[in-house]
Amino acid sequence: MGGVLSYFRNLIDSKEYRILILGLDGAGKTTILYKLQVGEIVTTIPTIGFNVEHVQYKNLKFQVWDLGGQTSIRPYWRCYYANADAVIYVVDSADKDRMGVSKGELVSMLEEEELKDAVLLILANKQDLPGKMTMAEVHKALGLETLKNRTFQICPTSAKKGEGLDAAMDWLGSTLSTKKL
Amino acid sequence: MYTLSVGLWEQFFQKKDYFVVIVGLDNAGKTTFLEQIKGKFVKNYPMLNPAKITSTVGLNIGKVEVDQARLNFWDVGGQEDLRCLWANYLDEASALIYVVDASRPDLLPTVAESFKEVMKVERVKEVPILVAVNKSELEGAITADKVRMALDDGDHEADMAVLPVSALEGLNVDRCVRWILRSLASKPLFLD
Repeated sequence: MGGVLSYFRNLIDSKEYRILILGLDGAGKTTILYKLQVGEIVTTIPTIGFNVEHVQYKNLKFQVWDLGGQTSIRPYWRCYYANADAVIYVVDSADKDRMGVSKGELVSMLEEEELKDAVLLILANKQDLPGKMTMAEVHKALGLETLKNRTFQICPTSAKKGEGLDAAMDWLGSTLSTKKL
Repeated sequence: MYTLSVGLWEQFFQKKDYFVVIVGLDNAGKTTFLEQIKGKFVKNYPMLNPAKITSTVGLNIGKVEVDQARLNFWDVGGQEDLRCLWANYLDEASALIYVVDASRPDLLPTVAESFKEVMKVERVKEVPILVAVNKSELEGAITADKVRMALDDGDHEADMAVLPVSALEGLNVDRCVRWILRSLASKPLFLD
């Protein structure tokens, strides 16, 4: 009975979610996008502009926008905020020096009215590198304890090794499914 | 006179906001408990499959409107290195739910220690505390009495209750919310 119900729910639930992948340059956004889409590690160059792909993960459909992360093009992120269901914010867990910059970008992004209802998934990427920060350290470095009006989750990932992405996407999928369509 | 009327209007007709913090050790069932609350009090809420709930590193929020109150829940991660972050939420709490895993009597000393840490937060002393003894449906689960004995509430001044619950089956979940509401309502107004 439950199976039948969930079958019909999947039919109705075929909405395509609009997801943004943001973060500083070199955090691994493009690698993550293509790892999700084709399941392989592609060689990437710094993104100037954006990549957009349709991604099917289990029974969920995503339209994923990967926006370039260099300083000069970060101001253009906001052009894509409208109707975003979720933001995947990628940080380089080994780049302690720029964690403060990353925090600044995250904070100003979350102040945007258009992202008020967006779910936030933070990927602490590059967990394969030595000197990486733990989840609690990333939590503190990004000042997330002040973020009290939004559901968010930090997931450890290594896009290069393909680790952690499944768990992260499972969380995103189930959290999005509890939001009213 | 105008201010008085507005004040009275707000007093009687506006929903009051309360912040309820859910803490407890990792894997105690905090997120499942919150999901169950949302399922019971939010109309048409599509509850998460409990099997799909992973350990929280971050925050889950929940907004529930009951009677004249709006309860804002904060469910925070309970892993050891995340517990130091609890204070940020406790400082603004109107009420506290402490979730205990009844199927793990071996963790009781750790529970007691973490509870003691929570009680050290100044704000916590004056807010109602509900200890939800979760997974009570499981065989060999410790009783609420036993949990109560293990917890030291020191110089806590507000109400405290210990209730056996089952976040998975929904047992006593609405009773917990009602208890919190009642306790919040009975608080003198100047304590807001």
